[in-house]
Amino acid sequence: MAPERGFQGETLLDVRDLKVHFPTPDGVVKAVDGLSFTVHRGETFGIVGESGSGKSVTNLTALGLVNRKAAQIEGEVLFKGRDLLKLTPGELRHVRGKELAMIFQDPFASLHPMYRVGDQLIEAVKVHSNVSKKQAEERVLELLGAVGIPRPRERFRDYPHQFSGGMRQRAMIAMALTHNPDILIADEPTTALDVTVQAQILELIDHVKREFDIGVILITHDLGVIADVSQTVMVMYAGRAMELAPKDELFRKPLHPYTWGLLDSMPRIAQKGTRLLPIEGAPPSLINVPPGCAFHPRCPHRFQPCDRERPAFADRGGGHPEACHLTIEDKRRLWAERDARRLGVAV
Amino acid sequence: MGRYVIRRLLWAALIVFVVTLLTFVIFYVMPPGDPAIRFAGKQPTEATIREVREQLGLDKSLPKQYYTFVERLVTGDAAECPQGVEGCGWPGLWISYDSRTAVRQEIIERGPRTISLALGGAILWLVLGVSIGIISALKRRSLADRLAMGFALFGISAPVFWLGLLALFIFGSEGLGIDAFSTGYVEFSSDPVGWFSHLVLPWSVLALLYAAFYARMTRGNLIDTLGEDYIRTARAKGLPERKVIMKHGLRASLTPVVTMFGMDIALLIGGAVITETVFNLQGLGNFAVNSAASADLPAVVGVTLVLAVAVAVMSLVVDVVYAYLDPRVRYS
Amino acid sequence: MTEIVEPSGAARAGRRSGEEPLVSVRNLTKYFPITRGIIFQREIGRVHAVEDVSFDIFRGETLGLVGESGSGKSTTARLITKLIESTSGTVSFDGQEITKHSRRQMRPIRREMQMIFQDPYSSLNPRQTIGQIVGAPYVIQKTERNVKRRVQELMDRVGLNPEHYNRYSHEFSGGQRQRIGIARALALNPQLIVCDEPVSALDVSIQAQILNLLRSLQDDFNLTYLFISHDLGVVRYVSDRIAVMYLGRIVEIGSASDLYDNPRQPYTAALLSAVPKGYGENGAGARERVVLKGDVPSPVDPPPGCVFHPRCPQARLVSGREDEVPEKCRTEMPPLGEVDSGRFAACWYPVQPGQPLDLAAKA
Repeated sequence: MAPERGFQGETLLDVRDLKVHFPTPDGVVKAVDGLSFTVHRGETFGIVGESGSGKSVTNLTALGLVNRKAAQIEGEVLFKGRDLLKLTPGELRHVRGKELAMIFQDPFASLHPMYRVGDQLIEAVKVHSNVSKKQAEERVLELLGAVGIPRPRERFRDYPHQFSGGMRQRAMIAMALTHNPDILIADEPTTALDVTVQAQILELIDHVKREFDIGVILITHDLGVIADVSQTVMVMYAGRAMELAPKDELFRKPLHPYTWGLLDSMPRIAQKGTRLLPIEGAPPSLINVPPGCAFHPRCPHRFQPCDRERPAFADRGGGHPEACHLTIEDKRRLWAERDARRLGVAV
Repeated sequence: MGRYVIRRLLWAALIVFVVTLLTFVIFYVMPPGDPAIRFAGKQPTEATIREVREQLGLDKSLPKQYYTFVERLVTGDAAECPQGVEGCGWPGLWISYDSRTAVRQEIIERGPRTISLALGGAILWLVLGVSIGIISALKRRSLADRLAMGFALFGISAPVFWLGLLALFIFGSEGLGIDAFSTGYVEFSSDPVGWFSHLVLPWSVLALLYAAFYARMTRGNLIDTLGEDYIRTARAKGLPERKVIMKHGLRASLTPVVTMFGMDIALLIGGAVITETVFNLQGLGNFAVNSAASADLPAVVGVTLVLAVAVAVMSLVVDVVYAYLDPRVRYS
Repeated sequence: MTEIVEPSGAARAGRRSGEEPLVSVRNLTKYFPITRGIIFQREIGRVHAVEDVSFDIFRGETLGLVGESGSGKSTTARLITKLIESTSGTVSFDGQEITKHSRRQMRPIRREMQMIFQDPYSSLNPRQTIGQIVGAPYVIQKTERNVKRRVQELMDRVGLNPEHYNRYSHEFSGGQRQRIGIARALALNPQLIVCDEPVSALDVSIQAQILNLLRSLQDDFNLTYLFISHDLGVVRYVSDRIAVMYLGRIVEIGSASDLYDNPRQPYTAALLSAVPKGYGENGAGARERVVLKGDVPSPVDPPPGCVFHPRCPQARLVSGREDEVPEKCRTEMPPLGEVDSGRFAACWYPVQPGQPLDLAAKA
């Protein structure tokens, strides 16, 4: 069960023990395997993980964008009290793009290349509200201005290929904001962008969160991006949550060996003489997730129950929930030792 | 856009001339069979043959003949039309060695038949093929999909002459005996209903063949397109699924179909030979094959010209439609 | 066997004194023509991909090349390895100028310079086994007899199981494929390895493995790297010196830590400030984020004067106005001048240490 601590504000999304399994001829792909978390108004909830960790599937499932026929979905996704998984596709459609909006990784591919940007936004306005074309256009111009597209009246008539990557992502954000949603899900929103443009977009998302008073779910593989903008962070591995904590705690007192591995794998720009301590091996196939703790084959600190018993996702006294069998004392000691190794003091 | 169209038309004209020149060269070097002998009638004298050869310009060199051809094409051939031959005029395409009629006249007579066949068939197969393609893309791996793709396979593999004869057998005097479906061509202006009923079977046979290709192509393109990110965006907006597919999916997946459609129509104008033969339509395809077989140079060049113009015009139409459909082409 | 080229007198490339560079690039320029017309092609413009670039790479060092997309860093790598021909300028390798070399003349040099590419999925032939991929250079260059043993040694060295000699590349994960790529590059004992975004397609945990591998190989084989990446953290981790590119030009070059701690060219400063900081990175050199306005201009039509002036925060600070930049910035591209010993920056008004970069913040 996700903790109700750290963040004040209306609970918008409450995911409880979500499982998304895809049966395939080669076996069952356990894309998400028992995941719980909550997102509040005014919060940027960061989900970090490597490819195949299930971070995108979670949100696509919430939005009903995962083919329900192809997947076995269990658990609850409570959005403002309603279980999204129980809604019919028709009902879900009225939530999507209206109360729950999403932007994607590749702004070059996520706008239709054959329609004008303005028309694609007008369509987004009209799908959920009965307004004239003129009114819709006014709304779109207002939105384009709000996300920082210069000369919206001219750019309105452009096609996506006439926009730069950053502009396209701005247009996508404008589209997402059309109906003042409660939650904006941003799936790797800056991965395809240059670093200076990334900074612009992250700043815009943060600005939009305050201005529209919404909750943001930011999915990324980049711990730097997470550290920059989110308040709460969930670390995912092989479809499961490994650790969930307020950002400061996660970076200052991480409790899970996988989180340690991630932190120590990330080259930073302000480091001098420190060494990267990579995680050995590669992430598992989701068809063949290791028994017990999914991370144990790569974990340098594994011990007896790790290969048999799946650790519960719970607070073991460290102040926030994590899924690792080590005692809290061991975790504190091991993390301190890593500090020394990273700096090359002792090996 | 205007400048672009003009430039394209100039290119087309150049290509048409090159094609006719190549046709000339091929026929000039082709093995014998003196057309003059055939033209001169039964048991001609040396003198008659010489006269005929002179009259047809066969005594001239290739460049000279080609020059004459171009000259007639530009200025018309009414002035030098031999006695007893009708239908000369502009653009001059000279006289068929075989039928001793003006090629121009033949094309004017036969053109509408082929165009009726091609366009009618095209509309039918486009509607049929695209709808089957959409259905089987959306109901992938369902019974409908399997049936549709089975039908497609049948259409692709069944030879036209067999299908045509089968259709005639079923509906013709041997089978159901529906007279309206019998072979031959009826002028639209004289009897629109007859025109239509006589073309129904050839259209269907032609459409069956092409619809199969179009269904497969539409299915494949649509499946690819539905996997695109912008389709996910359209769904994330909350658009109804019908709109996601018909507006966002189809537009992108039909652009390649447009190219194929244009070229298919153009090539059919050059002759749906087998269909025309089976249903006794006496169109351009028929004419082309007969003329080629008897080395009837003016007739062959005439049909080639029509085909080249059709291809050039259709490719221009395709490009314009394409630019309309896909703005990325328009601006680059 | 070699023609000795006069060592260039230009000290502009940030050279260290008394050392002979392995690679020496002078005034390298590459334009890609944009043509229109099918038969009669006429040039209607040109992409200024690389413009007047000069630098040296010294033996045993890693030179990092950073820049955003379209900055010309990959084109520079392709010019140095002569995968494409330059428009003008020279490249010297190991003392000989190779710019005008024919394919034949390049053959012995090719084995001395190898490349590692970004996408480990498309850069390996799926129909070849690892043995064939890694052993291919031996066959092409006809040097080694006992290919298998040598290949297996290499596989072991780069962290692959030598028993997988007969497996196909699709049986491997992204990280392992990149190891195969590295083994292939190492096969002929090259002096220089050009790494073009070698870890950009990999997950963070795998990325760190590959970076550490590249570092340890450098020590073992005395390799020289030209390391290209858009990731400033990665570049810092592997590089001794770093060159920053913007719109086809090198705008700043210097030792890695100096350059990161104390950027002198405003673009470098803005770029570094834009990188999301890992937690608690507020040490020396950290400054307020400067969010650059607008997009990178098109390399088809680069701005006159300093290429960075339309977005430059420093130019606005100097003029004191948001909508005005000093005339010099608008009219003349600043040369890559020495601002500190070993530090070169292309700027008329280099950033001073500790100086704020934001006009609004200053006011």
